[in-house]
Formats: sequence, C-alpha cells, structure tokens
Amino acid sequence: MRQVLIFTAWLLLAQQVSASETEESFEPLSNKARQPHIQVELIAERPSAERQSPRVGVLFKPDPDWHIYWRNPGDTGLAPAIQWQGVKASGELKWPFPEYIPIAHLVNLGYHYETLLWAEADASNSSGKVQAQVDWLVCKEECIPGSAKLSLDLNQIDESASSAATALFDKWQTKLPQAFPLMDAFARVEDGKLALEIYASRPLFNEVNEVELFVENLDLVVYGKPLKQRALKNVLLWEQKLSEFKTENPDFVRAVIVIDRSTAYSLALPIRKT
Amino acid sequence: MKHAIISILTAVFFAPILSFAAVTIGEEAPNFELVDSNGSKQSLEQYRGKKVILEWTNHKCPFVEKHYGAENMQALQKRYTEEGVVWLSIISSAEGKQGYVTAEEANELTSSRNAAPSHVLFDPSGEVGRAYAAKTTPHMYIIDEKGMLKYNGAIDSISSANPADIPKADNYVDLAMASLAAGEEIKKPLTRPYGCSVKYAKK
Repeated sequence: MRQVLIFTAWLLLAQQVSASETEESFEPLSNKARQPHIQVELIAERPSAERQSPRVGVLFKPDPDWHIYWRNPGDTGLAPAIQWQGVKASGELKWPFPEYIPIAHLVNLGYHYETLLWAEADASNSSGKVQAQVDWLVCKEECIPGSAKLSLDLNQIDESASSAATALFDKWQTKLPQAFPLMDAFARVEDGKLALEIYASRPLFNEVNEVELFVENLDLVVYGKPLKQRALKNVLLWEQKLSEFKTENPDFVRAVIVIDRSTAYSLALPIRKT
Repeated sequence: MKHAIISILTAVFFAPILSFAAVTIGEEAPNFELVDSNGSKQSLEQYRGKKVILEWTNHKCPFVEKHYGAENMQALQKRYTEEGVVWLSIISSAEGKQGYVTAEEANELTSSRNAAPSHVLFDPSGEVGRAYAAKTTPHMYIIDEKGMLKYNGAIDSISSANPADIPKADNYVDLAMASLAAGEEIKKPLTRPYGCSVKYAKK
C-alpha cells in the first residue's frame, strides 16, 4: 500500500517535471518502448522539398491475443491518445478501420495485431524534433494501461528508414476509411433504435461477403450484432438498439462501413427528428 | 457458394442482451441477497429507509487501483457511511478470474487499504451484476431511501487510469449525493462507467 502511494507520488512529481520543460529541451528519448504486452514505436518520413507534410505516426504492436482500442472503444476500454510536441501535427489523427472484439458479454471496438495511428506533420519552420506522449490501454481479458514518451529527429532519419516508414504509411493508408460514395441517406432515432438507410452512388455491396458498420458516436447504440442489416447492390439498411447510456440525440451519426475486412468508408448523417 | 452474396443478418435480438436487465433511473432498483465477507446475508430490501451506494470492484483492476491507491474510494466510503448511507462493495468476478477473493482476503484488503464499506458482498455467479448490467470496475449506483435508482455510471468524469486525474475530475458520486441531500434533481444521473470489464462467469 505504501509502495503504491510512493509510486503515485513519484508519478505526480515526474509529470510536474515534464510539464515544466520548454519545447526546445528534449530528453534523449528513444523512438521505441516495450511495455507489458505491447511495443510502441514512433516512425516518420524524412521531410523534403517534395514532402512538406511528412507523415508521423505511432505503431502499436500488442502481443498476440491482446488488443488496443478504436476512437470509440465500445462497451469498455479507452482509446489510445497521442500528444505531439515539437513538430506539430497538422490535422487529426488518422484511425484505420477497427474490428469488433467480443469479450464475455461485452463488445469492444479495436485492433489486434499491429496498427498504425498517424498524422501529417507540419515540418516547416521547426527543428525537426518530434516527441510523442503516447497513452494506451492494452487488454486481453484483463487490461494494462501504458504510457511512453517517444522521440525522434525528422532530419536525422536516413533514407532506408524513411523508405521503410513510407511503405508502412502507404500500407496503412489503404486501411483508412475513404469518403462514402453517397447518393442519399436517412438516419432516424425511434422506438429505441437507430435506423439507417444508406444509398450509395454505385453498387458497393454486390458480390461481397461481409459488411460491418461501426458507429463512431460514443454510446449512441449498443455494440453487439445489429437488429437488422441488409446490404444489397447499392443499399445498406441497418438498425441497432440504442445504448442505455445515450443521454441526448446527437445531430449527426458518424459511421465507418467496412467491406470484406479490406475497404472502409466513412460517412456522417444528420439524424432526423421524428 | 454463390458469388453474389447478400449479407443478411436478420432481426434477432443479440441473446446476451436479454440476460441483462436494464436498470432504469427513477425506477425501483432490483432487490438482491448476497453473502458478505463475514458470512452474513445482506439484502438490498433490508436497507429500505436508507440511501445505498453500490460499488462494483476488482482489486486488481488498474482503474480500481487508481481510486484506492489515491485513497479516493476510501474517502467516499467514509464520508457517506458516516452519514448513515449504506455502502456495499460488490465483487462479481467468477472464481478463477481477476478480482475473485475469499472472505479472508476481502477482509484483509479492506483493512490494508483502510477501506470503509458497510459490507463487501460476493456475487461469483454474476447474477446480481447482470441484474444491474454492471459493466466495469468501478461501476457506481446510488439508491435512495425508497429503493429507487437515482444514479448509474462512472465514479467521476475523467476516464483514465491516472490518479493525477482524480482532483481534476467531477466526482459523480459526490455530485449526485449533494443533489439528493438538497432535494434537487441529479444533473447527470446516467454516465458511461469506465474501468475494467467485470469478470463474469461464462453463462
């Protein structure tokens, strides 16, 4: 018990110290960290005249059978967080499409195996030093929170490391949701359900084996099998029970639609008041 | 197997949802009877006339450790039990799963952590947890003197495992209890609980 208090005091003190650092002073940190059941690695492309917005990201490698979470983690869990220092990330963190992870009676949304979360960096007018404060929760059935401060210098990345990073970013780029080719769509909240009627401008659902829909809004709907799902030609009908933790009706439902675990689309639909 | 496959998942209620009653704010909280760490039976009904706070717990969960390690949970327990509120710590971990403890271990933990629940209750079958749809540890419920559920959700507003967040967060238990004491409506009676999933027995 006393050890826990001492550790907690140390943790608070350590955070105080790092909070008072100026942007220019970077501890000689590594770009990799190994912690219980996960390895995290900061990777980046070398900036150049052709590459003014190099990509910078964190590769999460949970141990086999362990997973981290999507931006909406589902019933339980916590999404990983990355705070950038030094070189600024221009724009939001990019999230590859997730998977459903059932555990006992709950369902989470996340990633087994390796996943890359990244952003485009604004490398102009900066020293090229990047520091990422990474926090995560990695779970199998039990969960272990983790935290690491990773750093690297964009200008010190050699060609082969940069090419390797580019290859990884390009690979994960294909797992990002692209804009859904929308013709029309309707979203309604009624009778304790969220009902979606989505019409694509081309027959997206022809000859596919698996269609999954992930709602990004936290606790709008439950996370198990939808009440109804029909995907045919260019039409997707989807209904799911509202979450008991839903407190108000949001204006938009944001969703990611994944086809055959390989191609993903995102869309935001205004919710009709009925 | 035809190529042109239309994936049709027809309307079937996801079975496990049926086994979880939804408890509703403003409605009667489900009664239960569980054995405590001193071998005595405790029921919710016997406390009618008093406010009752339910705390789902698992001493090895990092989120529970956050609150106990910082003495936050103990402070809440003391504050409210001293006012005559009944505080029930409930362990729904199945045998062999994280958080499951014997009566002896539970009493040892209470004393070594300076905890002050009125009782620690064992629910290894998970029946009571499921009746309350308890999802995480911690997961907090507040029941008024009439047996009505008034609060269901997180202990506070910052879902993290970092104890440094405790003083920065709104403590939902304190806020709810203050509203009840003032005879006012609880502003946030239902919040998303955060923590480790309750380690239920497989059904």
